[in-house]
Amino acid sequence: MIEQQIVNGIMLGSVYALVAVAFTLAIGVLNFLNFSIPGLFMLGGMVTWYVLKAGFAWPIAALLAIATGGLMSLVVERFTYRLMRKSSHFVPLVTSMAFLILLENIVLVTWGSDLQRVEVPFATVSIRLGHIVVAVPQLIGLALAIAAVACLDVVLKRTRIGRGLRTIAEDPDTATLLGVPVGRIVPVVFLIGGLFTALASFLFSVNYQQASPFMGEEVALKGISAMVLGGMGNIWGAILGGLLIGVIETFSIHWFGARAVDIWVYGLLLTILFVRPTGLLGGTAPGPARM
Amino acid sequence: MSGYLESLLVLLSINVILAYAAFLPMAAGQLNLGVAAFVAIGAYSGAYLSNAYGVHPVPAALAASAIAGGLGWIVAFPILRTRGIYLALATFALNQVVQGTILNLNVVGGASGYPVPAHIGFPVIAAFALIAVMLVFVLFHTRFGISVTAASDDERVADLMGLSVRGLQSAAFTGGAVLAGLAGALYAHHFNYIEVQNYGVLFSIYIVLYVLLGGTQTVYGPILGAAVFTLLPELLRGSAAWRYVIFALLIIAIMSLRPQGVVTGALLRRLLGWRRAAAGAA
Amino acid sequence: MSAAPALEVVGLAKSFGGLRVIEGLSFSVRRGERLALIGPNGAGKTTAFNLITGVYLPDAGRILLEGEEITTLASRLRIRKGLARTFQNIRLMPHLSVLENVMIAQYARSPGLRGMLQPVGLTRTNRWREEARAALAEAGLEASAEDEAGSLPYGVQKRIELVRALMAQPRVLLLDEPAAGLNAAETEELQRALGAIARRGVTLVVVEHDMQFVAGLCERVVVLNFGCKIADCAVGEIHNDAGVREAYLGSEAGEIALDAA
Repeated sequence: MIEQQIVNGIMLGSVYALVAVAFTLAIGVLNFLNFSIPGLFMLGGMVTWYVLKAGFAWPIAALLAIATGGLMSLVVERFTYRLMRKSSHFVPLVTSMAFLILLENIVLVTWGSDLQRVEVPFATVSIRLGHIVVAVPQLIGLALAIAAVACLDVVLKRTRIGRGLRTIAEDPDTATLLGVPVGRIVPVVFLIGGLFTALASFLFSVNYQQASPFMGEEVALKGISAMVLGGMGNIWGAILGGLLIGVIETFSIHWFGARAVDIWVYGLLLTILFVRPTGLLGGTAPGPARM
Repeated sequence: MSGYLESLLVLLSINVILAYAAFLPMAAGQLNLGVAAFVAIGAYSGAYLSNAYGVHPVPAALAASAIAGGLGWIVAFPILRTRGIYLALATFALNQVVQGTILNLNVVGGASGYPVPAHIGFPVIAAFALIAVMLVFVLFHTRFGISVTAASDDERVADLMGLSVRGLQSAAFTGGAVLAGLAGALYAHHFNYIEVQNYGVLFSIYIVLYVLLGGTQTVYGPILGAAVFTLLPELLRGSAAWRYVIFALLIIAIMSLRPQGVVTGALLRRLLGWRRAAAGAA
Repeated sequence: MSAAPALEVVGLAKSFGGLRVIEGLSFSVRRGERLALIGPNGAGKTTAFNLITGVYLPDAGRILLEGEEITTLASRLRIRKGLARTFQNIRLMPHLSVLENVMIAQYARSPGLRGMLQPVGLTRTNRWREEARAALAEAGLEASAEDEAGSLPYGVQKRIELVRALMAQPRVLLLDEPAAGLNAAETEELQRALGAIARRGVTLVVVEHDMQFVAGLCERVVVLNFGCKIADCAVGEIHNDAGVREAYLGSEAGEIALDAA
């Protein structure tokens, strides 16, 4: 019934939320729509599947997936933002798209195009709250997502790195003038994004027991919708947007079938962009021409 | 002509049309991630016309491009009120919505794909490609060419100089949709089978990337981009996925070293200068 | 009986988010007159230009071009009526050549679909290209015709902007700090060129800080301060006006400038 659907939606939404945070951080601080994030998501999921298939324990899989996401994000930074900020404003976006294609096709070459079943080495425990059933791993996933964002919030507001990030978000050139070590801080944005995304993909593959080279396109891309819904540049907006998108997707599957999901999720994105582009929680709207 | 060579040339022709479909809005400053949507609209409406109504494939293709153009024109009204990143996001969302909608249209096969028995052969497709390219060339050598670049460079001043920026952007967006629809319908009628799963945002991304590779400053860039995208993989044999790996690496390299693409205004002026000098010396 | 003034503004007012930038501004410019619009920084001079050209719509007041009301006319249509301008910060199109930049303004003289589809790039001897080339030659810039506009020196770019504005064959030309950043020789050349343009019947409205330049070119001065007109007189009389002195007082450069006029 409805409560169960809502809970399912929230559980799914925690994955979207983490991905949305990665997107929104790049947009808020660097004014950069990072299209490589779905690629990192896919990479994390495939690594999870592969490591678990090879027989390792799930903490190893988690560690390796997250590490892969983090490392890959630094590679992306090296070849997108760092190299190209000085030239035309859309070049980093375009290069991040090239990375998405690169990652997806490398995985296709290595493991083929099949949907892989992720073998989870523990029995899925569920708890009952009234007539609602919640899988414990999913609940942990949700808790992790919220905890991660809360930590990020603290980092952004209380640490020197966080201050540096916020200064860069205001104006990268002023930040350099003010002595902010931009060259060392910008990779942090990418790294956090990569870690969050990889965590999301680990949670997704383990909770839904699937991974494929297309999971970036199919799952992580919706994080963009979540980001815009919540408000670009606002990490709590990303959580809110992610959870909402999860719920919307769950209900649309329930009422209209799985094939209708994209119409609802992306129709909503389209509507927000026309009607209220700053999203639910406002958030810093990037400059009109910058990407 | 061998079947393989003919297939390749057909793909080249279609990719060239697609290149200009993406180039038109990009010349007007719009990163159109919804190109694939209009390709899909053209492919499916053309296929439906020839399947359900027995329309001859060539008029069906023309009608399909008109339908795609018409929808493009309508959608341009709200979409062109957005700018920059919002425009890219809006076209992305549009792409996914269109793909999702077609997925649910069982009358054209839904998720199972749609067979298209009627056939359009290579000569006709090549002719269409040639005509499309010539039309775009001529168009960009009219005042439209410099006006569209001006509107993309500095909207405010272009407006004060008397140009209708909205009109130019709308024309570019709609023109792109027409070409995309044409390419889609031609593909559907040559390869005789279409699947909506192929028309996601990643398809738009491929097209945009190879146009950027060729260069968007001049009207010659898109042809080079389409040629590289179609022919380079043939030179390096291998599975489709490997080709795209190489393509992606190539894009990353080009964007690092020469982000304005291979063919630029400056390059063109230099080449033309040599030609003039050679003609003068002769 | 005199004809309608070339340009007239009546009671213009504009606020931005509660801040009154222009207040009750009224002045008129006769045909063929050379008017200077001066005032301290922030007085609202460029805003006045932006209102006249339609970048913003005024909160109150009217704008008339040769007697015709253009207060709410779309900005892109005003150049067709004979109103052109140059910009404080050079605004040439970086991806067009010098020649193409200048040609942009020709559209105002042949607008519509027909005008847009003129094959200006197909043949080298197209009449629009030739006309633009001739205009550049008259300004001594023909050699730069195919160059990328952004790569040329500042003074040259300013001259290109002027040629571009004139390409629309305007009857009223607004110039926003045309002498800014020019050296003495370039300033004198500009003064001469604008004088020649004015003698051809073009009405000039010039925003400037260089009072010597103003005195050499213009007949009349309208002085703005805090968005209001504080003086409207012949150029020879401004240093007698107490209000103007007070507005410029405290700025030594202003006093010196005033005395130089």
